Amino acid sequence: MTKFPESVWWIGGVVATAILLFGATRADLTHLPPESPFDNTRSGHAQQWRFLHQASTHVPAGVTFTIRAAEPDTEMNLYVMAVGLLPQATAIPRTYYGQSVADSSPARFVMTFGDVADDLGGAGRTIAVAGGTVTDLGSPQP
Amino acid sequence: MTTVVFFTATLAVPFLFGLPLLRRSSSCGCSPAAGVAIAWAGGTVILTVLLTMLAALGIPWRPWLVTAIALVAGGVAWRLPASRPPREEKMAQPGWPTLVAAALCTVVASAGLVQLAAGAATSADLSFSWGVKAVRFALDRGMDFQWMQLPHLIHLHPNYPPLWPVSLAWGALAAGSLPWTAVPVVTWVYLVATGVIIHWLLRRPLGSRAAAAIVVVWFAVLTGSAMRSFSGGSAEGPLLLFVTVAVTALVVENRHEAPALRWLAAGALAGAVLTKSEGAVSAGLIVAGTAIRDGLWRRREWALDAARLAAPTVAAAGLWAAVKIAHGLPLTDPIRERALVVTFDHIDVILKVCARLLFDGGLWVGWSAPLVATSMTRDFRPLRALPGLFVAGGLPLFAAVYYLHAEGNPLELIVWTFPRLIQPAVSVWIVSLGVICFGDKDGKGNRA
Repeated sequence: MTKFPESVWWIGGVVATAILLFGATRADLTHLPPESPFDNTRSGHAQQWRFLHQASTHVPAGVTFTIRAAEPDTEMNLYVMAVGLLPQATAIPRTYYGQSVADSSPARFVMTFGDVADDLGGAGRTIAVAGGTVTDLGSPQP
Repeated sequence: MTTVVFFTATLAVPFLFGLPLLRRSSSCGCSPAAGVAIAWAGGTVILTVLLTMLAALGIPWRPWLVTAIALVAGGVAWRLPASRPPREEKMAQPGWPTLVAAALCTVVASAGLVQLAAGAATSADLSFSWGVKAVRFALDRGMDFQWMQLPHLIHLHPNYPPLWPVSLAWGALAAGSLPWTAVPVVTWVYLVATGVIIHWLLRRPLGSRAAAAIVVVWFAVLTGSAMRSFSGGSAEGPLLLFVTVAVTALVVENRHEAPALRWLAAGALAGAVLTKSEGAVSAGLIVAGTAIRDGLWRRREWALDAARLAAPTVAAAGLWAAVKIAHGLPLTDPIRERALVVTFDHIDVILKVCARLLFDGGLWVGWSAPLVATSMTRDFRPLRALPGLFVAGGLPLFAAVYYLHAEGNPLELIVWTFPRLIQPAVSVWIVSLGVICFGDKDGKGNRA
């Protein structure tokens, strides 16, 4: 075996390992153990995940729900995540690929992520969760 | 507890399904670790085919039924006649390279595991599509084809191949729910399994020292790429394994010896087409590269060998196509762009962004170190590695052509998909150039 080409491989392996370790040390592993699969990705997904996870405990199986957010993209993200996080309820999108879903039937539960103008008119019973609220439009106000 | 049961179901049951493969690979002189990895990965393909067929026939998935079938498969493997493995030639090579490689790989594996377990490299696609399908499949004990066709669920890519969501669904079904935070760790298992298998495949023809050097580069570059591209919990892990194992099994073939590992390559290609749509592209490139190489080598049955290599892939693709047709699923992706409607104005963005992403993080090492090393070898004979070189060049080219189809600015699409799409390309580049660099120079199996 020729020595020089082999050395190049070993140097490459050491350099690639060093680059990997450098990246790993820059990772901000502040949320341990993670509550969501995205806790240390520095993306907004973790916050959205935690909101949905908390909100899901107030939404029973078999009901319909929809999600409101200030940005259409965030609303879409929350909707697609909610399909997996609340599989026993039926998610009704308000926004899908940037388009408002005008003909969506009214949902019993409305999850509101972040600050959104209140157009629910004080209807139903609202519970505060981390990152937003959950409103049950099928229940009378307390 | 949910996590423990999930991992047990996801790892142990496929392993039982793959036990016959373990027997087969043992007869090829496979190392125990590589045998276990091959059995698990192959068993995952078998489990996927079984669960997909049950779903297509409307038979609910029952954990006891699946486990019973797995135990029968394990029993059959146990009763298979044991064949004597070929005698390993003793290689008088120093042990330090293996020890150094083991130390580096342990460091890389630890860094990768920490990041994946901490949720620092998770793919958004886990919560957008893969995990969503898995949860629903587990809840329905099968595939609810009506649900997959709902107009506001096209983001789930209902046409996508089933291996990854079915594999996760099986674990979720056994565990009672999907442990979302644990799923990215399965990606780590795939990375380690791939490294173990290719080390075995490379060690016999190249020697343990060369195999160790190649695997260190491969493992560090691909683990780093998986972290940077947020591939945790997505289907990139299994696709990387299947494509890399298929290519490695083919490029270590010797011109003057009958191919002994075609069964492994053929099975891996079937796994690739059942994992992602890009798997079919890779499989096509690999079969084409192998056929051309064998033709140039003047192998007598090159066309028949290529057909045999492609047969399980065609069967797997045919199975999924038949299921889609029978249950009304779209054959193509409803949210992707229309084929052959291209915009050449995108070329500038595609070239600039792809060129930058090709060398992002440690990827530049993965492309350059093998190239520099191979260019310094005295006897440069790339023909042997043609199947891998086809994939290494073909996949980025395929991506570029695909991006020409983008509606509007393709920047976001490229940044989102390209770093993951090129992982199999850089993977087989490393392996293929390793074989060219360290392989026998006279084509007769004698190491230089």
